[in-house]
Amino acid sequence: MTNTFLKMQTVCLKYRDKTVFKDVNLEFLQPEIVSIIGPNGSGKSTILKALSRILTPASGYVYLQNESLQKIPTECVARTISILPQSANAPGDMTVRDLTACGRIPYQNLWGSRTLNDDAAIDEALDITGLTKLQNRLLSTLSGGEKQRAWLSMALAQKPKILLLDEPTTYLDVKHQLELMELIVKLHRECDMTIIMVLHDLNHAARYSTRLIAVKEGIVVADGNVKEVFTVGVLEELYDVQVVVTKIERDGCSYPICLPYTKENY
Amino acid sequence: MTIKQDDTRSKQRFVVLGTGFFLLFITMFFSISTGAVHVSFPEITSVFMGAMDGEAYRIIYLLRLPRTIVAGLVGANLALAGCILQGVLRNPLADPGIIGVSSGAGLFAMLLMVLVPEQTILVPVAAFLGAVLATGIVFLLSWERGINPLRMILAGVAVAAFFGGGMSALMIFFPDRIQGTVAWMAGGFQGRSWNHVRLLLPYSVLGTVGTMFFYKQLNALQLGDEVAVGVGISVKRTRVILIVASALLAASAVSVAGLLGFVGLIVPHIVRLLVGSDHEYLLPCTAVYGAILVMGADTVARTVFNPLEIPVGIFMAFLGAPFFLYLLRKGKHK
Repeated sequence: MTNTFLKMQTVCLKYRDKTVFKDVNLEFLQPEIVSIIGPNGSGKSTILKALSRILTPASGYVYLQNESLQKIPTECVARTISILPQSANAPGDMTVRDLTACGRIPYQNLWGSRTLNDDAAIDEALDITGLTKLQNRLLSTLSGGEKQRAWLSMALAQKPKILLLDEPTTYLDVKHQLELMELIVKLHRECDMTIIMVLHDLNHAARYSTRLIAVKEGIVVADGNVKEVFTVGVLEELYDVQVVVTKIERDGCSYPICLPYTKENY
Repeated sequence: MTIKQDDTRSKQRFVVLGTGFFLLFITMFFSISTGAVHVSFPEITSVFMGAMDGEAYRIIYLLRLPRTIVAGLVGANLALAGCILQGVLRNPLADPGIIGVSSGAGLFAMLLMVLVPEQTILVPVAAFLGAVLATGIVFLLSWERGINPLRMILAGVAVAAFFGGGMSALMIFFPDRIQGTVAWMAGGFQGRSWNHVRLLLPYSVLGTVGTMFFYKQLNALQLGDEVAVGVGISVKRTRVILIVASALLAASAVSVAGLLGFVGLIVPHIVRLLVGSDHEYLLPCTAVYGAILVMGADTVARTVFNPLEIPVGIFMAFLGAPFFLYLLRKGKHK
């Protein structure tokens, strides 16, 4: 069942008086993995903020299943969409489990005693992210990769259908980057989750996404599957660099990769 | 958060809270029994059992009990206000002074004494109005489609400076009339009565019970606005409600007890070192320990140099600050 799940319709996004996006139209299906790529300051994160109602559009609408996001009670949205912002910070004396438990807030009433349902969801989130053994560790004692997984675990405890990730692999080493990307693919396949993320690493974006959206200076330059967007033409225009796009074959699979370079010789 | 595998931490939290209530009881007892006239334990119990006459009854019922309760409520209100503000503004230096409460209360109390010196009985009312007005100004200045925490702190500093300037001016132009305010500003509980209890209690009850409902929101706000929105918290609304609540808590306390600046800043930090930053435990523990601190400090301040009484604010600053620094260093070594 692939249908439009999340939609931006003629959305105009502003920070104070500065217009970042004018008339954006984007549709997201259920399920898919979408990577938003583009240079710094192009407005990639701004799109995620609009999709997660952190930023209210100056005009236009964001629809979640044909209902305006601004009209749905915020805790209901939180049960469908969860977001992992770029620079999240938590008190160091929180444990991994404490942080994960915060993902259950949209399911709890005012009195907020935690239910068995909550505990099950927390256990599951910890299990998926491989943090079950670390659940009682303090956040201040974790490595960057573990910390990022702990935040992801919080987002998963919300039991979202849509997961928004803002540069999830920043600060991670190569191995942890790959682990995280594979975890994302797993969530997509096993839980039918739509993942929309901002990525800087073009090769990760090409390899793990089902669709790429390229934005530059507040304009959607290209939007389509990897074959259509991951091309010399689009990437060179997007970043103002020279690009070689090629394929490598390994174990019967082929991955598109790109190598950017500038004209100067070094 | 009670977790099966995490017994030691939840145990520690319950111990801290349990010890708090025990200490609160002990402190209350000492506060009632000690003073210029010593009241013995049997006398206290007989008064609480309903004996309505005798000297002990008058001392306890008319003097010590209201004073003790006022001190406890003031301590709880101030500490709770500071704790909420530190969470909402995500700033460890936040205290009721930072949203203009102290300076507003101070200036209005002084104005009252200068303009209508015969109405000193209205000082609490004037101080309360001043606190609310100053907070309102800070609120308006920091409003930008919701409260911006950093702007709020800067606006608070500016408003405090402005009101502080007003106070200095009054002190220079009317040195003879503001004698009463100087003592009031140092903070103290001399002659506090049941009327003051009545003034405080509604805010204490509302503030305490109300904010207990908001512990989850406060926990989420600690993770940053974006995460808080992500887990379904209406950040703007929550922030406004909580700041108004803490302003009322602090204003009620300051209007009754004068400027006890230290409690709202330090007590939440001390309690945080003991129970961690989970507001489910932090809020109640802060209220209890704030009450203990002020009640105990008042008892000591009025008895050690008997018959001389040191203003409790001064006493607390001299004892509390070094103790806090000690805890801070100890926490670092752990």
